Amino acid sequence: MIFLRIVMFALLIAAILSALVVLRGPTKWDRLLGYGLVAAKVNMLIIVFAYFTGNSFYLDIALVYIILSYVGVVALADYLKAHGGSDRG
Amino acid sequence: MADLVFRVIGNVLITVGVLAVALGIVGVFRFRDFRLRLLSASKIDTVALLMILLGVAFRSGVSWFAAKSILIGTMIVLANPVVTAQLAARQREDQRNVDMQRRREAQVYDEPLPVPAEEPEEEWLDDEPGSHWHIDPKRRTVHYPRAQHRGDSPSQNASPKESNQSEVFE
Repeated sequence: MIFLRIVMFALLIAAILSALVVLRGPTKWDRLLGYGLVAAKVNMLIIVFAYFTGNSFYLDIALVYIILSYVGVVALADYLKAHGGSDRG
Repeated sequence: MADLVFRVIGNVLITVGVLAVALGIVGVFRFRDFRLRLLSASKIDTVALLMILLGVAFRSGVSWFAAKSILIGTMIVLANPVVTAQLAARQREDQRNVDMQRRREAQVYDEPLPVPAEEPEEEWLDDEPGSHWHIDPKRRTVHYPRAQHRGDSPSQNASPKESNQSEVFE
């Protein structure tokens, strides 16, 4: 179980570094990409946590979370395409 | 024995997934273009999610948990590239709009000045300028000789140049 703790800590660090992409990205598209990265990392964290606790319904939470993140990424991409996101900002 | 083998395989797969996540983070921070960042992030995230799900499934053995995680892994493998492609297509369209706008502005503001036409050689019938009337084709004016333009009293036209240049010919 110490292996799973180490994996969860590494995924937490990766999620924090992905959140830095949101702060750092030169364009709005990079910030949107950072949002997708954070969602994927948190999803992995939820999956490992589901196995860590032994509850299989955490996998349902992971499934719903990743689907909502996909929908949010596509919706925000539509918004950025309509309002011009390639400029810096 | 089989339990130990499954556990080792699961540990290896989860380790591969975490290493893929680390490589994806490095790629996102190293690349300069949005397309390259998207490539590195999306591909490696898909691989990492699949590896972690398979590793968890292997570790849990034959169970309801493993079936659920394999189903979620199938969904992710199908959906993640689609979402990435949609994002890339929208960014490309937006980038194309911005590029076309910049090109249009450049055409408006950076147009080169028109090249001046070659000046035709003037043919003088007489050596003395102003002794005959002629049409200047460039300035579209008619030059009369001095004698016609001068008034009765020569003191009113002080400078002969002004009297030489005269009416606009249309």
